[in-house]
Amino acid sequence: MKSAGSQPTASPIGENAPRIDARQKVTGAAVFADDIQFGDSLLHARIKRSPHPHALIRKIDTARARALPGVKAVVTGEDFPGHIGLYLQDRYIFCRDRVRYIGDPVAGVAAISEEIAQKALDLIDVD
Amino acid sequence: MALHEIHITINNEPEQVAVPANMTLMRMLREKLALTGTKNGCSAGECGACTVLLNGEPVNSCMVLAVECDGARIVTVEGLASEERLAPVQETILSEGGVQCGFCTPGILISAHALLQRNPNPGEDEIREALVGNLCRCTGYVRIIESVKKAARMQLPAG
Amino acid sequence: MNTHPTLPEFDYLRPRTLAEASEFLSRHPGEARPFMGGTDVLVRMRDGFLTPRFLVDVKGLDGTNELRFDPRAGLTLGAAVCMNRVIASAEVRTHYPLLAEACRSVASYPLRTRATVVGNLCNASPAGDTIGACLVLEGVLHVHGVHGPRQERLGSFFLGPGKTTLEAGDVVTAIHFPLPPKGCAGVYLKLGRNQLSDLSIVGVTALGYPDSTCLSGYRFRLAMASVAPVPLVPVEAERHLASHPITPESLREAAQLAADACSPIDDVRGSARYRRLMVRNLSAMALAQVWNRLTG
Repeated sequence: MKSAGSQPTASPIGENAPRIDARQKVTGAAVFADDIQFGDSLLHARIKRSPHPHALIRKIDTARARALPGVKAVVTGEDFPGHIGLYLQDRYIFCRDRVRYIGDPVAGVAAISEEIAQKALDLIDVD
Repeated sequence: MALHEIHITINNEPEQVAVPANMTLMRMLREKLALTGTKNGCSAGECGACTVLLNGEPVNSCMVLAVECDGARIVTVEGLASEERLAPVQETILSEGGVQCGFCTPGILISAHALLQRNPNPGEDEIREALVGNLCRCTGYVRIIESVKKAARMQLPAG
Repeated sequence: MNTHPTLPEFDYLRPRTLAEASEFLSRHPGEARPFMGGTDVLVRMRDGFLTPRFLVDVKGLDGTNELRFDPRAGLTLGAAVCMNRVIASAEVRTHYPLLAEACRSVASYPLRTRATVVGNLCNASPAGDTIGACLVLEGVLHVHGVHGPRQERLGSFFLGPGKTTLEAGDVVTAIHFPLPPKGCAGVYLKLGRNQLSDLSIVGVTALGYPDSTCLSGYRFRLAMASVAPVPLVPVEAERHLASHPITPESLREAAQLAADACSPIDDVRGSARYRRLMVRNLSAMALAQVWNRLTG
């Protein structure tokens, strides 16, 4: 959309330039993160989080979750003994002996659908 | 859960889909038909990102069960443009700067398109009322409302 | 936190007759629930407040889709008629504008394509925007139960938040409004956190009409949303208006009586104290507006 009477070397200042991706967005073609199609082999993960602000983990029983059809993996802190962290490596990926805030991750499930992953979470018994 | 076989017309294409009872129209469009133009913003009927036309009227597709749509006609944002050109609201929202991140845009377009179908010459208050269910975090709405006004002018017969 | 909240599992069925619907619902008490637009039911299911095993789609059953005005009998509003249709109806706008006004205050246009007045009533949230209009316009529910059709008055219909006198097997097919009182004027004032579309912090419905049995020659009906466990009719305020001449003072006194009748709670939208004050202010405003229209 050039202004009337513009020369071939006209400045872009003052131009009404549409956003480079606007056309894709108005046609619904733009791909946002959740729109990416992965096909049937995509697994869905859910994390089981602590409802307690500070508590000891005595036992985690994942047997019933593992047995649920469609569940491909169940992990807990036992599977990841190492520390991680950005400036100081002082945290676990999943809690190992205690939880330190409401929402602290305790276990994770990967399954073939969101519903199965959610159901599997409920089958994990955390004492 | 049992699957229900439904026949549904989407953007003028007849489709036959097997859906569980608890699948919303929104999820069916996005997950079964890969029509991801319709967005999931809240899953609660409040944000309007999932707005589609159901038998000509805009609905929050997250509030409609797919199984209720047997025999229905659906239009999504992908169906607003014809082969040759964009719908007026699509053209104007593009040219008037009404698109930033673009997440609300499909829902806005459907609501605006439906407004102009039922009220070809809306005033500003009417535009605002028609779009109140489509939330936008980026634009501040002014550019969107201007683009709907411009689309209305485009569509009105000249003279 | 679940970023993709999905509905729990359930079975969906769509009975073809009222008898079939009632029979199924009564055979599965507590686990089968009827639904119309689903704009309340689906949200509550997603949030875990409702876990029906069966959702029974009662749209399209006999009488549920009609919107009919009879100049001698009044308005029959089928249970499946969406709010947008109510708002667009010339007969509703002419004879029951308060009902259209109440519907317009609900959510947004796309939501109102699904939402229904009867659904709003059966959901029995004290915040229901159309409930006040239905109360002051003296709507009567037509219910189809296992023993056949019956009618229910709204005055005794609401028992608590989300609770009504409906029983397993009941399907509301319509709400019927008698002819409105001649010369009536009504208003619905809704206080929300935004200009349009939110649930009300406080909602005041006021209807006034000429009535020679009242001292002032006018009778008022009031209803309050979001300030009690049920949609509230402040009878003391109504009585005060019926037995006193209408002056700015008596309107203010009535507004105070309405505020006194409320038992609001603190919630995310407002505190109880704020609500009580707003009931007083909004009632005064609503009554003044109605009075001006009646006498102006």
